[in-house]
Amino acid sequence: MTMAERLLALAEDMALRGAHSLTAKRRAVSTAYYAVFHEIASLCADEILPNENKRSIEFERVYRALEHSSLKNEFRKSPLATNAQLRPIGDLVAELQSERHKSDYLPTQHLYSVKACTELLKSANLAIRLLKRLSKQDRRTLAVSLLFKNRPL
Amino acid sequence: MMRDAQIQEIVTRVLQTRLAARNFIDCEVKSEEDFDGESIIRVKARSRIPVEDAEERLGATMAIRDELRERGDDRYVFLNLGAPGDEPEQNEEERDEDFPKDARS
Repeated sequence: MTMAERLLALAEDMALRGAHSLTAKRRAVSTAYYAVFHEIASLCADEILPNENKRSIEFERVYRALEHSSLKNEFRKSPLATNAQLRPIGDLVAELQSERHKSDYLPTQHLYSVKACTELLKSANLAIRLLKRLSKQDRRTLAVSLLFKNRPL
Repeated sequence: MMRDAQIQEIVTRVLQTRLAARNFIDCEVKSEEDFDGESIIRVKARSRIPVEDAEERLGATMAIRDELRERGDDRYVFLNLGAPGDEPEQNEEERDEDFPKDARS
């Protein structure tokens, strides 16, 4: 089981056990976003440094190169926005990231019904499944687009 | 960027088709500012038969985005699909002190 899969399982567990708790549902949504974020970070690092020892300094550096702030922007631009396999992942990530911010930073208030929380967890699950289904070429496109700036000439 | 009233017409048309088998009821469109200051479009839609499949929700979201992009509006769309009777539990109490003990272990 990967860390992303464990995070998602944890999110589902929190949502189930904490169905009556506003706080538990917020943590579930936030954790679900991080599950997807780590899945993307892992994919990117594996593409840039294939066969690398995952405990090496180099692997860690590439893994940590993924920035939250670049996700929404890059998924709105070519080549990610024009790729039929990558675009849906962007739509899921953008929504989860938006909800993650609400979950982590807003003061105490009702954010999610059980159903809304479950829907977001299903979206995270779907995003991870779509990431796992990507072809070698699409994985490469995703990694390069998210990790490296496209500097204008 | 398009106005909410224009978007509402397009979204209604798209969802009437996409959610025909679900007995689409209505939808509400609202432009909002996201956490990063960017504008996003939030859509709350209702159908008599609930949509529980994430792929179906994603497909509807992308169909709406396709229509809006054709008209020059590239904003993200966050689609909430509900059914009558599952409105948010607004009166839900925060009861973290009741969190199951075995969840702490």
